[in-house]
Amino acid sequence: MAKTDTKQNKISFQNIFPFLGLALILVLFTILTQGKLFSRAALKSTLNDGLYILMGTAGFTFLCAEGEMDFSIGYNMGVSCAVCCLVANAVNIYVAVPAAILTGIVIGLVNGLIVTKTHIMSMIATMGMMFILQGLVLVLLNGSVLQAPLTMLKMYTDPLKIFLLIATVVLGYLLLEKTKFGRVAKAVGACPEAVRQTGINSDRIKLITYIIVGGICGILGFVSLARTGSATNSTGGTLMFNALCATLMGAVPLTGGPTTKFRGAVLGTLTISFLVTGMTLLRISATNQQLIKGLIFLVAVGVSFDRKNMKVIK
Amino acid sequence: MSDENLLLKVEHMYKSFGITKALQDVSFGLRRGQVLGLIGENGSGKSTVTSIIAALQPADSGEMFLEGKPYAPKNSVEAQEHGIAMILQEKGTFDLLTVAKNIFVGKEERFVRHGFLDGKAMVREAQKALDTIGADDIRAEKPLASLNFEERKLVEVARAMYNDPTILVVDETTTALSRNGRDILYKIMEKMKSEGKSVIFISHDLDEIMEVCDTVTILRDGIYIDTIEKKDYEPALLRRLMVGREVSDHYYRTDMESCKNPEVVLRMDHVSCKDVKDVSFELHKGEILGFGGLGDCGMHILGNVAFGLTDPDLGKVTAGDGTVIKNSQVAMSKKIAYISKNRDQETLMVSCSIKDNVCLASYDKIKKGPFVFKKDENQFIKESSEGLEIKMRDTDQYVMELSGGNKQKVALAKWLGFGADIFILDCPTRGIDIGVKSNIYQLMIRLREEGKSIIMISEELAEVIGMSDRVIILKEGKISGEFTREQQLTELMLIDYMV
Amino acid sequence: MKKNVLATMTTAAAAALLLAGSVSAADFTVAIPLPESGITSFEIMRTNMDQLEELTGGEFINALADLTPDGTLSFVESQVAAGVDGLIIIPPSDSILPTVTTLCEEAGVYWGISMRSITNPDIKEMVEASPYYIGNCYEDEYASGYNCGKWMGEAGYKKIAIISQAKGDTTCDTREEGLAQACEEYGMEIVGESRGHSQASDATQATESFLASNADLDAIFVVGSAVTGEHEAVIKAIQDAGREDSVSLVTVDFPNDMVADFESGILKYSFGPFCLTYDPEIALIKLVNAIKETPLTTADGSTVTSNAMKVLGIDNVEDAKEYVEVLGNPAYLFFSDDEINNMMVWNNPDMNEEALQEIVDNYTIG
Repeated sequence: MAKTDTKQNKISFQNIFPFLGLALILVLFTILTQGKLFSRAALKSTLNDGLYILMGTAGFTFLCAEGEMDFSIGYNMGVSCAVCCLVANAVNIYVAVPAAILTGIVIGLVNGLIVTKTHIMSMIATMGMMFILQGLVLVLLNGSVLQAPLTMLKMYTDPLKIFLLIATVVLGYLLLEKTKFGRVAKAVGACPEAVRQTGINSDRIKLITYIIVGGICGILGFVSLARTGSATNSTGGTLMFNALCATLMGAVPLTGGPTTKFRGAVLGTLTISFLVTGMTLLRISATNQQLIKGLIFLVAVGVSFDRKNMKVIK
Repeated sequence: MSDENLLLKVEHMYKSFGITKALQDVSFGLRRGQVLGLIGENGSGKSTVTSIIAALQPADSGEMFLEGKPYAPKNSVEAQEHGIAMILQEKGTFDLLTVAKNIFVGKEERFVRHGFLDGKAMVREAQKALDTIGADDIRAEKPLASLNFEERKLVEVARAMYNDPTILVVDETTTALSRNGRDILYKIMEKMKSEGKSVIFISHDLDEIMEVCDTVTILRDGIYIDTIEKKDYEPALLRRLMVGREVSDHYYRTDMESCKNPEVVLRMDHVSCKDVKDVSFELHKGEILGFGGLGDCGMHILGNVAFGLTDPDLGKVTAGDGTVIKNSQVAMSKKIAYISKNRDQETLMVSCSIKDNVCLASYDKIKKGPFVFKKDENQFIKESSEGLEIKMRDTDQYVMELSGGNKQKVALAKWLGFGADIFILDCPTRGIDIGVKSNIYQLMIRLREEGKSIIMISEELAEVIGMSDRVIILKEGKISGEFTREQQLTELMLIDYMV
Repeated sequence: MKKNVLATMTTAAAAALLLAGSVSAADFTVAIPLPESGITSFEIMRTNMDQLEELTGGEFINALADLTPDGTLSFVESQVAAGVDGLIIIPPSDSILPTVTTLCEEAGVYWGISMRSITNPDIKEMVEASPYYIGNCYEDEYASGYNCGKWMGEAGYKKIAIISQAKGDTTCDTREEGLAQACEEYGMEIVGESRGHSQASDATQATESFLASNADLDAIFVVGSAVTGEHEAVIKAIQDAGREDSVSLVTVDFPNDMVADFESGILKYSFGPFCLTYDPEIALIKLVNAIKETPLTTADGSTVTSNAMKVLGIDNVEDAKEYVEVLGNPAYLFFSDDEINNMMVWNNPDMNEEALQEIVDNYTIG
């Protein structure tokens, strides 16, 4: 029963932590940058970077709810971007978009199949996938930079960004919080055996989630290509770490279960995005930025990592 | 109760968990050479008070005296040094270590010679400890994972007894033990008594309490109620003190009719798997079919097979219409429900809310369009738990905060809400106090009258006999006897078929 | 709970400390996506940027950026948001440049390219039309290849084998074009090729096979290497075959152990950009001129200037030693204060693309 008590405290702190973190970042940087944080240019920069983080984090939130993880999202995005670019050059830019999304989905599907069929821990399985994809990008791009037709750049418009932003938030929230799928996903993370004994095929739920995450990576691959007009072997390289940071800042528990909240993904993304913009506005040196990010990462892990659940869940 | 005879005194103890007051002004004493029974419904504070004595958690306020001297241990190691040992209700062993390492976990330095662990000496000592308590068929060098549940419990007993404690706390240990295991424990208690040492004994089984305890202290909702000496024992009195109201002695079914409906709803056909050999039976509509036997007779896995969770090696399970139950999805489509013996690990998601648990099986029913709304969930819970009287703050309360009985009610509400027609209940009253037990029996009777069918698997023969239309006894995985309600069954009659 | 709050507070405090003192009051600010430490070249760059700060009153920032297309665009966006007046970028591909052009034009930020040239003619035309683009600094890869070839031709070599990157690598392809030109002029023949090495032992095998199939081989020419230790592997293989008297090694880009390689007597000539960060230094000087509204101009009056970087040929161990000593010092200054001032158009109206190129071409180290 002692567990109950601390658990409740923990949960309430987990609930306020993302708000606290975001408020702290916003207040601190608004003061230090004398309001420049909300200038048009700064917001635009935040939006462009934040879009990747938001979509990645949204995917992570679903995976985390189930106690799963996908380390390969960054390079999935890279491969999707490369395929998108190849197709755009070979066929046309309109076929390239579904090609990118399809690529992401296929990679997600493979991840899902490995995790559900072989029962290899998702962290290990997707880490292996990460290395494979890293190699695949090199093969696809022949180790260099591939340029897309310049018309591709015209697809990267504000309406597209805002559409993706809103769609991610609305669909993500509804799916996780308001549908059977979301409820069951959390249950899978909380107690897989109980879910099995309730006649629910948790492998199917996991598979679908990996496919969704793969699809997100595919979209991001396209977004990256439309933004930069080029595919390189390092496209998507920073996605995983940023999304993981945001997931933790949103107090999404990596151990899964019912305390997973979609708002965590949104709050975490805002926190990390504004943190990065704020630090750049203040011209903090590269090394110190890294240091601060690492520090925040650790604190967030400490807060969101519900050690007590570990034994129950894994 | 003279003072020099008093070994341990607990005075004005308080403990709260958040808003839950687990203990309020609890005081009692433990004499030398006494076996003190501690009884009360779930959540009455029995485990809390003993865990404070064993220093597993601190009290909010209150004092304890050991042999007249103030006793305020800071941690369980200090409590052990004071001669207090505890056998926990939950499993407290490590599967991957050997029996010997489990017995001496945390005390390995005792066997360190020249910087290395002397494994042989440890095994020798451990075997001695096991032999002393009479569990000599457990080998100390074996890995714990190779032992069954009961043997593991005995390892814990050996661990507790190794330090030769003056006070032994036994918290619900006997529910996990067979007759043989119980006898070992009773013998230990007897021996301690004769040496002037004392035992605090917690159990749900009133008969057992009355048999082994010299005195019984009753707690209810964290409050000390009364202490009754052996000469004044009377089941009805104890029950009333525990529950706080009159409970009838006869809470099982009173009718002696067995089910006569010929309609078969579930059929098991020559099923063989791990612990089961060639088992066939039919479950009829409106029937309570009881399964009895020893803990390892295979009846528990049978429930698993019937719900499609375990594939049988041979044979098959079919629903009334002939559909083969090949997995739990099919089982559920045939309106079969299953509650595992290991309720907290397998049936419930204890880290989730009551709402999440009750609704889990029925989202297809609850959702409107693609969406699940809170309002509908709450309405669903209200309908599902009607008549169950789950004690809860609200539907968002975490299941882990509930008592055993309330947890079981949540599990039942889940399947009632789902609208199951066939209930497979494995040990439905395990670790549950009398009040809730009687609720569950009443519910079973109601379900039977509504034409639902129930498979009840239980290690408590009394309830199997008391509730079933038909009883099947398993022995070593095979059906060894089948009886109908009309036969006026007694426990003795059935035990012959079990061993 | 308390512990958690405490942890958060500590982080906040630590962050606040790191942030403090970062606001300055410079005349203008310029950002460059290269770190200020890590290798000596970067430290030398910082030393020279400090000097520029003093002489021009501006602030020069080393900003965090990975040199990917996304990373470069994020760098531009966030630095524009931070209100810089000028940017140097090292674009990984041409296709991000239209976006950079738009971003910088909207914000009125001058920008230039370091270490790269724009190859796509459409993009080049579009970018150069922008009044905020000041031009680029680049290494002349064709000249690198040609120079090495010329040196070998003058040394009387006839048969050479090359180790290079896979076809499709623009840098090496261009160097090979230069080499081909020299081969034609001096009547040399390329008798062996090995490409796309991934480990030093690939070079050993390649060398062994070159030596075995060509008894009269004169040199092995490493056109471009992405593998550490490759040069040393070639030397070792030549020594093992006992051909150190007849076969030499020639490289573009200085090997890591240049001094030892020259001492072996096998490395005869190495040709490379004289310092990695000399290029951004020149780019920054051009950028500062533009920010101060006194841009450099080309002969026909355009403010888009293009300068090839100083490259250096070393053919003896003494020069190698001197080079390593000078460029191993993080406090090395490329130019004196007077020389810098002389390159600023507001001090010296005669300074233009051509004059700057002359300074670069006549540059001597030390």
